[in-house]
Amino acid sequence: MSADHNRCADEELVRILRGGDLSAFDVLYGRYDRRLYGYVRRLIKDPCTAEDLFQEIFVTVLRDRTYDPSRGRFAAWLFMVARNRCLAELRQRKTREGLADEVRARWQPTAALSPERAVGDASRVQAAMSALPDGQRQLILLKQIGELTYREIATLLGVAEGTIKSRLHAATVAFRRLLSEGSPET
Amino acid sequence: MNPDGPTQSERHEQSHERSHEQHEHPEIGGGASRRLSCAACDALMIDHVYGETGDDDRSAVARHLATCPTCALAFCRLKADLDGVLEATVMAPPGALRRRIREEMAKSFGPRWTTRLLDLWRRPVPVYGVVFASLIPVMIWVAATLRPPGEAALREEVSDSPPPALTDYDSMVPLLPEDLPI
Repeated sequence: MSADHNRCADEELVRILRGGDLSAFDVLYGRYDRRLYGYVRRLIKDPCTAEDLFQEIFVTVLRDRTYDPSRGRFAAWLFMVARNRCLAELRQRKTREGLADEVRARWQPTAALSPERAVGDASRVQAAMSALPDGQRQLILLKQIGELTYREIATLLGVAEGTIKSRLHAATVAFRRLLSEGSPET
Repeated sequence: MNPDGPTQSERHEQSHERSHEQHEHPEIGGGASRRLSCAACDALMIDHVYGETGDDDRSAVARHLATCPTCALAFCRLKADLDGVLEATVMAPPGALRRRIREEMAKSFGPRWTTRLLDLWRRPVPVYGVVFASLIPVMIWVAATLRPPGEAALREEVSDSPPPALTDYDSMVPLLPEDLPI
């Protein structure tokens, strides 16, 4: 049964899951767990909050039937919900903590000294991504991690497809420049 | 100017310039046979790596990359940089999360009892089904045979028996005091 599901499209798997076959969930989860969790962690640094959000996003999209398979790709919907939830969480947190965050940030060690930053390409990539402006980082993440098309990103952000194309070009060039130069954080 | 001759990066730049000179012709031809210049290929490279080129552009870029080592190298570097984003970002969530979400899914979409029964019936042991199916008429016969006599059967039995005969009746015998009307 599960071997058959592996060949199914995401949208078909959602239909099967809603029909009561939980093995479809296993296949869907296996396809998106690392990408979605990585995406959420990239936006929400706190692991506990990221885990809660990850669960909430999956459950919202699948259980609460906010996604209609006939209206578009599952990946696009999943990452759209993820982005919206993460941004809402960031906004809430900003409102909650406000000044306290700033004070704490001043007393925290610099990112370059963090033990999470291993020496190597991954840390260089992370540093370059962190140095990008929010909008450009979002675009690259949606494209590379979410594997959304220009059109899907344009729909998500409510702008023209051509705008997304030019913004993504600029973001890619900026990211590569930071990567080759070494971002200011490192 | 370096007295020891050009450095590696200078050599690379010179080689790219030469390559550009070689490929500086404008786009030649159209449709599937279109040939790109290095500049045109460079402009399409980001779209190509993101998989967003149309069919014509995709084949034209692929053909150019196959013939131009400089652009091919640039494309490989671009792809490696962007693949690095994926590798640096993806992260496995804790296993407990999967269990929690699966439980939520099971609560919402778990199979109904009819589905479970059907699944049981469809188990890959066909003999169970055959045996059960052959037992159904036997069970019905047994149930019908062992059924206790119902009310109708009892009534029938009563109507078949002869009416009770009244014997030793003597109208002259006085009534007992408890039989007298009050």
